[in-house]
Amino acid sequence: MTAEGGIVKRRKLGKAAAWLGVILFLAWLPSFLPFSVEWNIGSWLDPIWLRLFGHSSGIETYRIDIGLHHATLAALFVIMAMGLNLSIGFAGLLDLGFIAFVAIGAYIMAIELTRVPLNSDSVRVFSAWWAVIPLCIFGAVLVRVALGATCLRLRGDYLAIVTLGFGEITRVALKNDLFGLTGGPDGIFLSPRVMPEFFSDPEPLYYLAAALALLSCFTLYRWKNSRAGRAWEAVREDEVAAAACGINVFRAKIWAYGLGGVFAGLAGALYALHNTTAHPTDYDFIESVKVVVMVVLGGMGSIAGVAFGSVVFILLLEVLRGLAHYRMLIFGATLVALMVFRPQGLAGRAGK
Amino acid sequence: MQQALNGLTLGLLYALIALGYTLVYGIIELINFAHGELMMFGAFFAYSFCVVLDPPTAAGMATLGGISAFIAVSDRVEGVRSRGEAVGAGLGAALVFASFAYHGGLHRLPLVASVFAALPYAAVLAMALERIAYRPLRGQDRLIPLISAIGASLFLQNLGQVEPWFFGTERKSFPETDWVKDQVLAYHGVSVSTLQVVITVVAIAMMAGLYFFIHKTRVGTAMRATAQNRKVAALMGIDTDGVIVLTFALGAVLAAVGGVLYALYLGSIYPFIGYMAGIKAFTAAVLGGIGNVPGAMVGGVLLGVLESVGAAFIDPGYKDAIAFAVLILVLLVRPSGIFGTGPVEKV
Amino acid sequence: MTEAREVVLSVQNLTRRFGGLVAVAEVSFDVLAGEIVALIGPNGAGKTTLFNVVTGVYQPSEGDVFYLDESLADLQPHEICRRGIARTFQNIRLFNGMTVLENVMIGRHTRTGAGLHDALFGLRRHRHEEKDGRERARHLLEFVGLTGQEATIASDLPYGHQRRLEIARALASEPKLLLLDEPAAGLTPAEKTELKELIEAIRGHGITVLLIEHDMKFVMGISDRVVVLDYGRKIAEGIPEEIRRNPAVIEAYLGTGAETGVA
Repeated sequence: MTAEGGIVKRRKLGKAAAWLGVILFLAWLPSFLPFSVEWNIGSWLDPIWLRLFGHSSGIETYRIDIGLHHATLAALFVIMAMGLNLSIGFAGLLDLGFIAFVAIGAYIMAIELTRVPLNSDSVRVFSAWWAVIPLCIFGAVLVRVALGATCLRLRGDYLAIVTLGFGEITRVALKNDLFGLTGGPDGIFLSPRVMPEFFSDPEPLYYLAAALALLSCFTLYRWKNSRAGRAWEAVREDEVAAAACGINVFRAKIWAYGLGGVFAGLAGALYALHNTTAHPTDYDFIESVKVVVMVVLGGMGSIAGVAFGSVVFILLLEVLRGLAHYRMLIFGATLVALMVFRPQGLAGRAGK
Repeated sequence: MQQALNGLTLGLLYALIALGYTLVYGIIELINFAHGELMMFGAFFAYSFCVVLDPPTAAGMATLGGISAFIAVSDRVEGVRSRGEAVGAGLGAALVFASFAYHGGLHRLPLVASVFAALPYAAVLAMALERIAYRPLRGQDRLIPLISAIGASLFLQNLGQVEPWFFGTERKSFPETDWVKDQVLAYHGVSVSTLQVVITVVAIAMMAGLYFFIHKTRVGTAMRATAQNRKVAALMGIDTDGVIVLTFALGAVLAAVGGVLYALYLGSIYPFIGYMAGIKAFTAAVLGGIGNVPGAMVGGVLLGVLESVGAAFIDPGYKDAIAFAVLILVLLVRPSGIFGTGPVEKV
Repeated sequence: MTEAREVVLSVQNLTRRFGGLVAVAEVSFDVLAGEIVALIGPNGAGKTTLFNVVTGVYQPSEGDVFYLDESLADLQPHEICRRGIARTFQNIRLFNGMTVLENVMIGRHTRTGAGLHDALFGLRRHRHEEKDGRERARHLLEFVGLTGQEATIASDLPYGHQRRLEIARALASEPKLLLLDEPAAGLTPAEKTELKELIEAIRGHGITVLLIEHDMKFVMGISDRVVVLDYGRKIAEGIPEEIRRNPAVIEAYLGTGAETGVA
């Protein structure tokens, strides 16, 4: 018994050390960035190209620039991925329109911030930027619960396509200047005049995003090993058996799906501040796919895996930026290869 | 009235594409997300026969056709013969497909001939896709093949944009196709164009052909048996892998024809063409009850009409949103689509 | 046996149709507290359908089911579980990706109530329930004979153990009435003997048991009473000795050519 206790204690210490390491790494990250490398790829490729095609490759150098900007982006996507992990990973609800809820958060933030300076008559609901965040979360959760209440009775594939459809509806609505608030195809630009002073420097946003990303991971970690977490997992595994065990399947689904909106709204609010704009093209279907990929890449239901997967994925997209549309080509091919060779993701349990 | 008529032809196109989704879903319960891209490449193969391409583009299409033919043919042959023979047959097929595509790409064929020439390419591309991206995933959690399908869709969509081997992002149009807009009939302000007549005739003919194929032929019976219960069908001696591959090929052929007509309807062809058309066709399939062949036809027509009429009444900007709004509403009332019968869960 | 015992489950004139097919037709019987009642009948007689109506998977077409004088007709499966009816499934439905211990802890869902905030902030309710739940789950695993398998993934267990785990999961909800759907199917003779002892031990804890079973020897050896269904109708009810001799039962089995026979 004491030996077992010792092992548990050592494991706990190890875990604490790992967390401390992550926090310290995040705290010092800004001093390592921007990071930039340049390779003279042209000089390697040209001889081959000349022989094959009779002309030079047209590629000279390949640059990789990773700035603090990307670290912030990665942190925001970790928050989003955690929200989607709650739906897909925990409760098995495939959501292909997640980015729509991020968009709701982002647009609420942008609308609130631009209200006063643009139109002095209108009353701004909240005066401080941080007070808008709960509103963003509320908006995203509200819409998500409403959609969930109507659609969560559908079977898996149908739910996927309905959420995809909702994502498209949202995007089209934003593009069409919904309620005269969303600014149409140009979106809403957050000029330096309306941006909160707090974010005149990029660093505070980074620290905020990183802290919230950690908090998101912690929240999911706590929920995973709880009564609710097990209920979600049971619903994912077998709804009939879950109901026979006394779990209110529909309620469990609504909770998992709705709570995903908390993360979406939060990430959206910061995403608008990060981009200094809320623009409809930032919330395309492909963005939803990206978040789904992060969750699957990391291993559905795993927390460290999904967090790590999201960061790797964002950085990878950045590293491959120089490849133009080969980038998405590689993305697609990688997705297929990943599913074929390692469907359980980087951290997932091996298949049954 | 005019809007309803336009919607009807558009709906028939959706239906033609939706059949591919429904057939595949009926058999392996997979949303073939890359179906829109199969449609796009099918139409692009027809386009490449129809115009004179740059040599690199002809080479690119030839390579794609050749590789697909190799995978498709060698996989089929491997089922009955040795691996060596399979590779040999695959290489032979690849050579034939590639050289024909290359020369076809550099020369001009009439439109109708181009469409027919493109069909085998669409079929082998779909077969290769099934072999690579879907077959290894059978039996996995449903999410896994779906994500693989999204990956395949992104891959093909972006492959189509690679220059100079493929087509770039610019819109292109089929040559000498001004006749499609010619008005053949006008009645009380409602006019019908040649293209609308062609679409109606072709779509209905193909659907009738498909219905005949599924219900009156041996292979069609095997397909229906496989859709009912794959394991039992296999025990009855049906080559279920073959049936699945055939289903993909069939769906792609229908989509290729639909794709060409859709490109003519829009007046242009481009690598993104499959995305919206694909999603809408899928919506149509779900609307009618996915897995249900007549359902896909009705769903397609319904969607096309609602979209055209709705856009005229509400706001053209919301045209793309109407399809999904209708989908959500229909699923609320009938969770399995209009003609769908929900699966009774066995307890 | 002389005192009047409480009626735990009362099936009254129950009919369930699927389209034109009548799966269960006007069936009535009672289950008394502390009894072990077996529901038998040839394949397709409507036994599992009856279980599904009792546990709320299906609604009755006509008639009603009463549990301790409360109608179950309009209740959802999870509400029925909460009231004290637990079940197992004919084709074993465990949460395959989860560990043995987690499976049993899910069974405790209705007996716990820690919310998301309890879990998030690690409040006492959450900590207490987790600790308590783990302990109780371990006890149950010991009771069904699965000690030492806590961390095994459920689907990795051998078949016989999966059946036991399903029973442990059902017991974790602290039921008054336990429904077992073919618990002995596919077990070896030795495992069947152990199962019989287990079911008797469960009854010993004051839990009433209603079970579906095909193995006549098993049924006759364990049940206090037997209810026989054929084509959805009740054709006989009584103590095992009566059922063994009942001509209608013998005909139902031999007439359908069932290989089980009457032992």
